[in-house]
Formats: sequence, structure tokens, C-alpha cells
Amino acid sequence: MFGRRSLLSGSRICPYCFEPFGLRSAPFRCSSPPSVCAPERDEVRDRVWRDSRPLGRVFEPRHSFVRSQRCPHCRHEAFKRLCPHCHQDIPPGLLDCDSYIFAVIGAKESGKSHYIAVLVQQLRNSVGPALKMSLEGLDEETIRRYRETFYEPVYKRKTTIGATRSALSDNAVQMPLLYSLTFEGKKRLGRRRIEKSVALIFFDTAGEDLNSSDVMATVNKYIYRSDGIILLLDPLQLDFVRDQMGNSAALPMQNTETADILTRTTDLIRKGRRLSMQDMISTPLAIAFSKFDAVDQLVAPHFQIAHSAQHRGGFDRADFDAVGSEMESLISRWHGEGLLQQVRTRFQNHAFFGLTALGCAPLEDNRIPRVVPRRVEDPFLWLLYHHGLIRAIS
Amino acid sequence: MRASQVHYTSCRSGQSGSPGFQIRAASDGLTPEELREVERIGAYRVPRNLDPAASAEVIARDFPVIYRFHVLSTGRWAITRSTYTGRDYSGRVGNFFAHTLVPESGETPLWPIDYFEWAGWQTHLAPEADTAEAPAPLPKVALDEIPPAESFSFDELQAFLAERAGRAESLARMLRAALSAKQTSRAVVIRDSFVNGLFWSACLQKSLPLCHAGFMTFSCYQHEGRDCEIVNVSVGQTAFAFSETERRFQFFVFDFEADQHSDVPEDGTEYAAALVDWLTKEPKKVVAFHEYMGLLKQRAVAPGSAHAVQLFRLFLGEPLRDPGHTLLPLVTFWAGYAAPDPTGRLCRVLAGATVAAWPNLQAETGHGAFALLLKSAEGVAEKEHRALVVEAWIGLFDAAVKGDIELAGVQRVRAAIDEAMKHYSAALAARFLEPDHLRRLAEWFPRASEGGQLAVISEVLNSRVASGAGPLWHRSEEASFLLSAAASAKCLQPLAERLLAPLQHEPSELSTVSLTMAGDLASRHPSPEEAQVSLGRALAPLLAQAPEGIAQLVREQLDRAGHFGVLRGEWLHRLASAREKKRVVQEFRAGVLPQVPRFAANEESWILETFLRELHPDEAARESLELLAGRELERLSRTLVTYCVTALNQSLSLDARDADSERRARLIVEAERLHGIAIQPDRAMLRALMRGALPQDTSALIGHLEKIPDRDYEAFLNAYFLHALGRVTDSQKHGAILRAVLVPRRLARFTGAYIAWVARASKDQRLSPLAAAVLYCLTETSGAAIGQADPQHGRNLRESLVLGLIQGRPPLELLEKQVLATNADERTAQEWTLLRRAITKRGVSLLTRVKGWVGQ
Repeated sequence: MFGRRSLLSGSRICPYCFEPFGLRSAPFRCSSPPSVCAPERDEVRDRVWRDSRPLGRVFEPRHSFVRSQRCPHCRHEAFKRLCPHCHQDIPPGLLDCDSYIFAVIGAKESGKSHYIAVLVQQLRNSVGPALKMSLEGLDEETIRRYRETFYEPVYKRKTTIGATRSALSDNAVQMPLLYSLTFEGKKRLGRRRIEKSVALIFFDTAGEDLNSSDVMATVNKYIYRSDGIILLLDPLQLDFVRDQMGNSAALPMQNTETADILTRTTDLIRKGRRLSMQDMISTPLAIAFSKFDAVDQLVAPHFQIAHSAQHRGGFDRADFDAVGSEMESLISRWHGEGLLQQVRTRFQNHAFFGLTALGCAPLEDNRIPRVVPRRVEDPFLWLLYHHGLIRAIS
Repeated sequence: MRASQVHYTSCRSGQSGSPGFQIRAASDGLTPEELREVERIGAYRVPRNLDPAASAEVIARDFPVIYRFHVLSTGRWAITRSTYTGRDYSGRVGNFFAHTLVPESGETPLWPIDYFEWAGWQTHLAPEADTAEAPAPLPKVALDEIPPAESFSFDELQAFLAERAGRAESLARMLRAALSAKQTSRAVVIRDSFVNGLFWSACLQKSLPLCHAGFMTFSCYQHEGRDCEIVNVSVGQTAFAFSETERRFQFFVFDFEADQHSDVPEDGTEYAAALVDWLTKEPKKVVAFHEYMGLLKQRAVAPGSAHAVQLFRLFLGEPLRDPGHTLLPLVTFWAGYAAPDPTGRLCRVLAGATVAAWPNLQAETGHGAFALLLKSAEGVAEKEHRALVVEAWIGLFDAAVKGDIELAGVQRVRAAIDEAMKHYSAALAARFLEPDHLRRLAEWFPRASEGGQLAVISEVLNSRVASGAGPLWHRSEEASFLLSAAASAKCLQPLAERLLAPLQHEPSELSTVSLTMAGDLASRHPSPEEAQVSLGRALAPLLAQAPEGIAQLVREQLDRAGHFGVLRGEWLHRLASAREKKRVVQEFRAGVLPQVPRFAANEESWILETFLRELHPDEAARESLELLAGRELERLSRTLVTYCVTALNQSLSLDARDADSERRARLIVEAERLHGIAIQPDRAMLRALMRGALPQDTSALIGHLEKIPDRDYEAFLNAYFLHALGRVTDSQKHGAILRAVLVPRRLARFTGAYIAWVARASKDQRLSPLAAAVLYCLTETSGAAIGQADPQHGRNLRESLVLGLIQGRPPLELLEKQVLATNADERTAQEWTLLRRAITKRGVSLLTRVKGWVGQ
């Protein structure tokens, strides 16, 4: 399966700098209390991340298969591994199990941050239990960042998430959200067990960073390393839809053409993976129309997409097929044939979805009256299904 | 000086061509990399305790402003003022407006903090301006026209520090922390209110001079530990945890909310303490310090340099503490960073300090300091710097002349100056020869040591050469100084040698100079005679090398003026330097003395005497003999004749058979007679006594025999007793002769000679002299008269008589008759009986022993 980081292969992709590395070359960082082993400046980390504060000492592993090693200074056992290229701490979960990088991209205001905020919450509280899987943050930074940047605005303050800053101006945006997804199973005698555990790496992206190929190549390298791309489209950016909506909804300002973003993404992947113009991209691409509640009036009420999905026990393949057909017909109707053709031509594996993270438009003061997500999990589950992580049910 | 501007915000239209966060507009002159960096430093993250969707009023009231000073990777400075604006054109929250200035020249004419109150800062993009139309490029800003922020004047900073107790101490610690931030990788993080944070940043930045402002980057609102500046202020709830790990290991935390602060290393203590002290007490000193830094190559100086502070203190006129340890590092510091300064203020201060501290410095330290002063003076190539170094050296030289410091070190410095300032030696010399300086030297000269006096003369003469001056005596100031110096010199000869050495090439001046100096010495020197001799000694080599006519002229003039001391000096020099003394005296007498008739008339004998004194005694005796034999006695001085007689006398043998000695003895006697000379020991007289040629006047012997060698004493007695005692028949006269010739310390030799005479007289049966001897022994208290000083001597005399009589075996009966006939009193008869018995007894016994020895 393309892009999957296998334990057997021994190679990893750093989720921070996206450079591949072997475990044998991953240095250790001493995690003794600073009073025991004085921290020191990490030159690599300072150069790459402009983080000059003293941290635990870094030392090279003695051999390939070592899981821990004594710090040469304090002789305490160190377990923390680093990316040899950027010296970011690699959470153990990323080293112990297969990892999958999922990129969430889309034009400015397409709802990427809100999508991630609601998706994580849905996976934890609703979809996860239904599919007997559990999503947990892999590191403190992920937990803190999700709570502060995504969860608290949407679920606690009931307000929209602020505009995501460009990774150029704030490299914190460049940091991934690292999760472990654990699947529960049963032994033959009926006792529960962990069937599988994988690491998921999500990236939120500022729309501005997709406006230029150069910027994408600088801060969005993860896209061509990803194992799945969720491309969010705001249907209200389509001219036909805007015309159809008339004055019935407050239309957002028109942003970058989705087709342009798709083109840049294609180019980035092609170049990153050294594909020729004749090669199709195997990375699964989920094209998801976000804020779908805003165009409910343009969708026939009997369409399956107008209703929530029921993924109980596995990926609902029938529902997926139905929704895919409906979406393609809608896109076609909304004068999006070009987009359809672009996707079909370039991407070997693709699917169309319609979803709404909030379920309603925010008020003028950015308050969210209620959070009623619909089908936010569909693209994600399709990607899991595509990678064989979950079964399909009929 | 102009600065480019950059506006960054989320807007409809900007430089990206799409809506969203982007550079809204910018001035020309910034590279893409710089623009990207500018985007980054203005990024605003809302404090966690504040609602990003807050109203405009709340934002204006509660939200901190990022006022950040950053040095771009290209080295140019960037000052950013970033304000949270809430919603953007699309109504989404999280927008901010960052306005950045990047000076064209790289740096700003004011401290970056001083632009905080600039009226031109833009805080938001007006909605009406946020259209789809592309904005025009921003104009450049004239930085020179922006006044410094009044809030951060030094007086205001002083007031801020005084506002609350402990702030000054905190600032000192912050400053130390900031100075070590780069080395320790621990940035300073201050948790305080936004306004206080601004003031802390201002205090810290203005603690360094403007040239070092680039070191003290700051961010008056920093949200997280990544991408920190040197000084960062955390306002509200940020990503800083203020945990023990951060406080102790990752940052220098000054948490005024929790009143918990990091420990700070001691590095930079002196700088921090001084700057904070001035800032709290005398802000004007801070201003002065910053101005003073302009006298150094500022960029090269390490920010927070203790040496910079120490030098500034010196600059202010404060005394240097422990100069033995601090001066050299300070001069080293300045030498490394000296900038051209037409007024040479720092050079003056350091040169002055070096001179003042010199007596307390080790030689290497002082010399090292001077070498560095020189190096820097040459390095900056400023005339004034060189002049100051020279001035300092002259100060040292003067101190050495006065005896305050050692001369050797000063001369070593002079050598270094010559080496370093080859092209400046003329100016240095001119400065040294300035009349004022010469007058000062003249004052100190008489009290200077010999070395000091020589150094002064050498320096004056060397300076004259270096200054390219004409003949020495053409400049009256120097000539009069040198003459004056010579007149009071402690050791004139070497001084005169140096003075006169330049005349080697100006023989025509030799006469004038010599005459002038001789006259000056005669009239002003405390020991004029000695001084003239020294001058003569110095003059001699020059006269020897000068054309004969000139030498003659010099001598004639000296002779006419009566400066015989100079001519004596010349003679002494020639005599001392000649290997063949006789030849030199002949040459001098034949060649020089005729030129100087007055001198010759007065001093020829002295010349001969000095000549003789130079010779070995034997040689001197030979020369004396020649002189005496040459019949020059009449025109030679009594002193010389005395010397000759003495020399000849010393070599005179007492051996009567030595015919040559006899001839010399006659010459001695004649000279003594002619000049009324009395010498002791008068060996000629002794010779005459020995051969009985003189009347037996025992008083003439007094004092002579003590001074002749033992061998001569014994020879004299043996000869003299024959003539003197052999003719005496009176016991009183016999005793007088013995008393006259007895040298107590030579009693053994005396006794031996006396025994020999008694034995000889006994054998010759000269009964009358023997009877006088016996009577002298018997009547003069058993010989005590002769041994008054020591009765033992008297007994020895009697014993000697007995032994002599035993050895000579005189006819005792006849001798008895002669004795008793001369003195027939009873006591004499009894004594004689005892004496005879002793002679007989000891004679038999001795005879028996001798026979026994023969028999064996």
C-alpha cells in the first residue's frame, strides 16, 4: 500500500520535516530531569525550528536495533527518539506502529480547521465507538493544540475558529496533529484484545499556503508524502451555486479556484514522487464539499447525502457508492465537469463527498448556534477502508 | 536615513493576488527572504486568557501589542508593531495588522524602542481601504525625522526604576542574563504587564549603546518559546509554562506575577552594575557612556564589556584601581578597538594613566601597555594619538630623570617608539627639544642620578640628530642646556664624551666647545678641577683624531686660558689608553708639552709622576734612576723627585757588595740633600750606616728599621753591630745602640744578630766592647732597660750575651778584669760571678755534650 510506513521496512517519514529516516539513524534525547543532566542548545533544532532553548542532550544510537540507550553524560536510560534531520521528538507511537499521513487541504475559508475540530470529536465520541476504534492524541502538543485551537472555540466558546495563519509566518501551524487509532477485536474465545493500532497524522493548512506552488513546496511537503488527501471545497465558491443561492444566503468572498489548488497539489505530488506526466497519482483523494448544509436547498431531499450515514460495524460501502454517485451528479449539475474530469484524469483513487462540520452557518458575531455535524467522517472512513484498516459492510 | 515599510494582514487584496493573510503592501528595497522573515516576526497569537472574538474596545484595552525588534538574517534591523484587529474582511477572527520598518542602511539612528511612539504606525486596515484593488507600494519613511519616544527617555527610565523597590536590582540581573543569553541559549522572559514589559525592554536596550542595540533584540509580547528574541515579555496567558525547568534551564525568567526569578550567572556583573547604577542615579552618565563608545570601534567591542566600563570610568577621571592588574588589559582592550579620534581623548587618558601608574607597574606590564599604545597610535594613524604617546613617554622620561621611576624601562619604551614610529622620529625629537621641556630638564638635572644625567644628554643629542638640526652649538637653547648640564654633572666624563662625540665630524667647533665647556666647568662646577679633567679625558680621543693643527689650537687655547685640568685629563686619557707607557710620555713631552708652555711649566713633573705611578715598581725605579741620573732634578718638582727617590729607594739593596745599589744610593742621598727630602726607610742611609760611613747617631735610625723587610733587618744588624757596637766601650752607649735598632716584633732576628756579634767579638778578644756589653747586662737591671716593654726581652738579652760568650769563648779572666776595672762595685762583682758561673756551667755542659756527639 503506497505511502504506508511499515515497521518491517524500518524507514520512517518525519511528520515535522517530512524527510525519510531510518531508526538506526534516529538519535536519542536524554529525558533525565534537567537537574540531573543539564540541557543544552540543540543546534539542529535551532536551525530548523528557530528553537534555541536548551533541551535534553542528544546522542547517537550505538546500533540499529537499540530501543533505549544510556545517556553518556548522566547514564540514565533514554527512550526519546528524534528525527535525525530536524531533531523533533518522534512520539513512540510513530515508531511502534504503522503510520498514515492524512492531509486536509482546501481553499481559504473552506472549513478545514472546523472540519478537523469536528472530525476528531466525532471519531472519539460517535464513529469510534460504533466501529470499535479509539482515537487518542500521541503527544502533549497534539492534545494541547487540539484543545486550544480546535475544541475550545467550537465546543466550549461556541465560536468559529480564527483564521489559520500561514505556516510561513507561524511555524506552529506546520506542526502535525498526531493520533493513534486503536482497533478493538476479540480472541477466539471471546476475550477482547487490541487488534491493531496505527498512527494517524493530520495536517491543517492555511488556505493562503495553497495559493502558490513555491509556498506549497516549502511548507506543505507533507502533501506528497501523505497517504490520503481530503480536499475540502466550499460549494458556495462555485459560480453556479452562488447564482442559484441568490440572496438566500450570505455568500463568502470568492477565493482561490479549487481547480487551481488541485493543479498545484497534483504538481507537488508529481514532483515530490518523481512521477511523469503520464503517471496517475495513487494517493487516494477525497473531494469533500464542506458546509453542505448551506446548499441543502439545492439538493433533492431524497438524496442520501442529505442524511447522516450509519457506519455501524464498518465502512458502509453501499452508502459510499450512493453518495459518490449523487455528488458527481450534483457537481455535474453545478457546472463542475471540469473538476470531475481533472480528478478522474490525475487521481487513480478518488471519491466525492458532501459534509457539514457545524451543520449550520455561524451567526454574524461568529457564534455557532449549535454543532450538528453530518457525514464529516465519510472521507476519513473511506481512507481507512482504502488502506484496509476497516472492513466494509454491505 | 530612510526605512522600507511592510504591512501584513489578512485582507482582500495584497501582494499574493488572493485574499487572506499576506503582505498587504510594502516599500521597495526588501528581498523576498527579508519579506518572508518580516511576515514571521509580526505574527500575532492571542493570549489564551483573551477571547479572539472580543470587541474592538476590549481589544484596544486588553490585547497586548507586539512591539518587536529583530535582526533579519541579512543583518538589517526590523522593527515591527503588530496589533490584534479581530475580524478580517471575511468576518473571521484571528486577524492582526503588522507594520514593519526596515531601515535602508540596515540600522536605525535611534534605539529601536524609541520608535514605539511614532505617529506613523498603522494599527489596522480600514474596511473602506480593504478593496479588491491592489494597493500601491508604501513610501519609505524618513527615520531622521522621527523623534525618540518621550516615554523612554533616560529620565523616564530612571523614574520607572525608582517607582518600585528592587527594580534596579532586577534590571541588573536582567542585563546580566541578557548579556549571557547568546552564550547560554537562554533568552530572557519577563512576565509582567504590557506597559512594564515595554519599560523593561527599553531599560535593557538603552543599557547598551546604540551600536550594540542589535544585540539586544526584544519582543514586548512573545507568546511562545520558539523564535524568541533576547528579551521577551509574556503578557497574559501564553505558551510559556514558567515551570521550574523553564526557569532554571531554558530561559532566564523574571516572573513579576509569581515573584519567581531565575538565578543569573555572574558574567557581565561589572557592566550591569555600572549601567544600572548610572541609570538609576545619573542617567546623564549613561548618555556620556554611549557617546564615549563612539571613540571605539564600537561593533568590535563585545556588548557588556567590563573593559568598556572601566575605560569609561577612567575617561571620567576616576582613578584606576589596582593598575598593576587592570591597566594592561585596559590598554589591550583600547588598542584592539581604538578608532581614529582627532582629539585622541582616550589615548590621552590611557597614556596619562600609564605614566601615573608606572612606578607601581612591573616592567613587563608598563612596557606592554606602552607597546599597545604605540600600536594603536600607529593603527589609527592619527597625528594626535602619536603626539600623545610621545608626550606620555616624555612624562615617563622626566619622571625617570627625577628619580621617581627606573630609567631602564623608560629607555626600553623609547626603543619601541623608535621602532614603531620610524617616520615620526623628527616630530618626537622636536617635541623633546622644546625649550620648556629643556628648562624643566635643566631644573631636575643636578639632582638626577648619573644614569639619568647621561640619559638626558643622550636623548638631547639623539633628538637633535633625529630632528635634523644643524651643528650642535648653533642652537643656543640646546647649547646652553648642555653646558648647564655639564656644569652640574655628577659623572662628567661619559657625559662629556657623549656631548663631544658629535664634534668628531665638526673639528672646527672643537676649540670653541672645549674652551666654553672648560670655562663653564671652572666657574660653575662644584669640583671644577675634577670636572675639567673629565672633560679632558673625553676630549682626548677627539684631539687624537683631529687634524694636528686643530688639536694644537685647542690645546693652545686651553693653555692660554689656564684650563690645565682639561690638558691633564687629556694626558691621563692618553696614559691610560696606551700600552707602551714610556713611549706615550715621550711623545707627550716631545709633541704636546711644547704646544702648551704654561701647562708644561706647571705640570710636567705631575705628568712624569703620573707616568711613574702607572709603572711596575721595578720599572718605576729604573725610570726614576734615569730621571735622577739625567740631572733634571733641579727643574722637576719636589713631589716628583720625592716619588723618584722613593721608587729608587724601594729597589735599593742593603747588600754592601751590590755596586749598582751603591751608585743609586748616592743619587738618592744627593736628591734628598738637594730637595730636603726625608724618606723612610731611607735605605741609602742604612747602607751608609752598615758600612760605617756615617756617624753613629742612633736617633737617625728611628722609624726606618720598622719598614724594611726581615731579611734586610737582619743584614743591617749584622753589619751595623760590627761597626757600632765594636767601637763602643761605654755600657750606656752600648745600650743606646741596642735600643735604637731593636724592633720588638723582630726580637728573634735581633737576638741572633746580637749573639753573633758577642761571639765574633769574643773570638776576636775585643774585650773592651765585650766588657761594655757585660756591664750593660749586669748594671742595667739585668737587661731590663732594653726590655722595658717586656722584661722577657731583658732576660733574652742576658741569655744572648751568655750564649755569645759561650760560643766565642773569650778569656774570661781577662774579661773579668776588664769588667771589674770599669766598674768595681760589689754588686757588679757578685753579678759577674753568677754570670761567669753560668757561662762555665753551661759551657762545660755544652762542651761535654758536643764531645759526646763527636765521640759517637
